[in-house]
Amino acid sequence: MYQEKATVLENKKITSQCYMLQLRAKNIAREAQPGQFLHIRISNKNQKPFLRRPFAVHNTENKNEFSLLYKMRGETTKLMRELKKGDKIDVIGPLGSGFNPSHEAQKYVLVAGGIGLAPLFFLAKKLADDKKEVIFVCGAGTKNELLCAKELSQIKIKPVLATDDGSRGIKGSVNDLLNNYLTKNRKDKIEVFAAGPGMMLKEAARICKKAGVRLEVSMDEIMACGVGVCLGCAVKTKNGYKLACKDGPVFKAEDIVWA
Amino acid sequence: MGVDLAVKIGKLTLKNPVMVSSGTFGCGEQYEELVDLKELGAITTKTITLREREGNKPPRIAETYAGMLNAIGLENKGLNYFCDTTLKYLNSIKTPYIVSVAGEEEKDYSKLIKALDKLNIEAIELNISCPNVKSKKKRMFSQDAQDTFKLVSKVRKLTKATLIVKLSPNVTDIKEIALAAQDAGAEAVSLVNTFLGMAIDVHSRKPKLGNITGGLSGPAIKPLALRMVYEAANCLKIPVIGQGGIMSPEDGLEFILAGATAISIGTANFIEPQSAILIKKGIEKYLIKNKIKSIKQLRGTIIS
Ligand SMILES: Cc1cc2nc3c(=O)[nH]c(=O)nc-3n(C[C@H](O)[C@H](O)[C@H](O)COP(=O)(O)OP(=O)(O)OC[C@H]3O[C@@H](n4cnc5c(N)ncnc54)[C@H](O)[C@@H]3O)c2cc1C
Ligand SMILES: Cc1cc2nc3c(=O)[nH]c(=O)nc-3n(C[C@H](O)[C@H](O)[C@H](O)COP(=O)(O)O)c2cc1C
Ligand code: FES
Repeated sequence: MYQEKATVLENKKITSQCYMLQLRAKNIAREAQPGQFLHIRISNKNQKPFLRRPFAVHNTENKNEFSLLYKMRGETTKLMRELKKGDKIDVIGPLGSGFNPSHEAQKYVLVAGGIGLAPLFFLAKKLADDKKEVIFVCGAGTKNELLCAKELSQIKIKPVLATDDGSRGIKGSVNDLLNNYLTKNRKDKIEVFAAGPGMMLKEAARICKKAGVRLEVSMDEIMACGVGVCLGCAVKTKNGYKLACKDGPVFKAEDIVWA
Repeated sequence: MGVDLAVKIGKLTLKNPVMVSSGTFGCGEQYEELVDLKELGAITTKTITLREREGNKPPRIAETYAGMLNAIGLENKGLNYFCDTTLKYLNSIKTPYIVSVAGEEEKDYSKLIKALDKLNIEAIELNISCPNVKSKKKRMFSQDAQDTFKLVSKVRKLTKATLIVKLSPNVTDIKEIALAAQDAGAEAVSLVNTFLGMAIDVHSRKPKLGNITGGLSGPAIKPLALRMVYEAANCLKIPVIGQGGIMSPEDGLEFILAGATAISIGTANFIEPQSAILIKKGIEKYLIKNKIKSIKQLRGTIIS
């Protein structure tokens, strides 16, 4: 865990709602693992927004650099959009415990709902580096909102797509694709990793349980400290409350007590 | 010119007057990679209870204007875990620490204090002001002067440790409660705990906290907290530990000018883990610049 002043290298719009922020901070970049997150402080003079905000590590490059993918939501993301090359922001990280793919699976299915793609891209890259077979399922409302097709092709992963309006890939949800895939590939040893809205994760958990397949999910909780002292980011599990910032954000789906 | 930052809280001597508040710094361990713990005046631990408590249902926190609401519900692993594990860590670092305890009834407090006294704990903070757990009486001990007096007198006899009583701001007259704590033998009071508050998400029409209400902290409460510390310090002989929304050296100095002997940093830790150290350094600079030799000389010197 480090607190660093990260230098902005690039901040570019990639869809109407999403941006990619490239930063340089060597300790964080060196140690970050897929599924871990960063706690970012960025606020105006009136201390608005007041608290830090968590963002997943989207990618790391050449040991010194990492990137985030963010979707416009409120005050923090509005201020992030204004960042220019050379600006510095205060980042604490890498935090939390990330994805734990086993070495035994034959196929790794990654299911990204919207901005959930952010941490999963990093995982896909690591798995591809290890010569694993990755099936990357991503979804969005419409084709213009789909993220990172080019970046995925650079690591030789062809995404399987779903859009709500059918403008690209199947018309439907990422969970429809997941369900189809698991039904068609019953014989293979598969592991699934998912990130996205809570309702989507809950449904993915149901599908994987039915198929008898291991699933890890990245949980999106509101956080204050990000390091395990405030006990604010509680996630209900079969073993009592766990902390999204410390025990997670990645959990085994079978452990979660879904709301 | 070197300045003297040391202060005394009961029998406890602090190298400097800036400590970190209960529930906002764990036991220090979680921050050891980011913060030089030796530089802290003291660490007040997360409140412990006799038995493990699972805490309130999420969401437990919500951001508000210049502050936050929390309804953690005193989640903690209980006294035994604390003694077996957390205490080992606390004893391994070089920072004075204060163990915060809470219970639902007097018996709980007594058992906790006895157990801690056996372990020669130097300082204990009686949290009688947590807004997120209901005691059997449906109000906090610190919302009633008599309840405060009775409880503090009882536990006072059970320990040689420095006894600090943490007070709630959710009262009509803070002086009355603070005096009750002093009369019962408290060696210091700590104030304020959080203000009861709430927030609603207008889109879902649901409360933003699972517990509906919670405690407000951060700069939003600073003027309220400062006024209460000022009133308490003016009527007490024992030291006051001032807290509530302190984010900067100036904020901290305000509390000291209002009469606080020491100050404690809470919510600010979440935003800047180095807050306590930065505030200490800022206070030191202020003393040097104003040619004041010791922090004790500054205390309560508001000019009115
Ligand atoms: C571990 C983790 C990783 C994350 N990674 C990313 C990422 O890579 N990219 C990204 O764009 N976002 C990510 N998020 C979500 C991001 O932290 C929030 O969207 C953040 O609140 C945005 O800040 P803001 O100030 O712009 O919006 P805010 O003003 O904070 O939020 C606007 C609205 O969203 C609600 N809200 C805030 N936080 C959350 C939350 N965590 N879950 C559900 N609702 C919330 C608020 O109540 C408010 O109504 C992640 C969250 C977690 C916990
Ligand atoms: C998340 C959170 C948890 C807290 N937990 C405790 C606690 O366990 N015991 C206690 O006495 N006070 C607790 N407090 C209150 C703080 O110690 C402090 O009194 C209060 O937040 C006001 O100071 P601040 O505005 O600087 O945070 C908690 C506060 C927050 C924000
Ligand atoms: S955000 Fe504070 S404990 Fe997780």
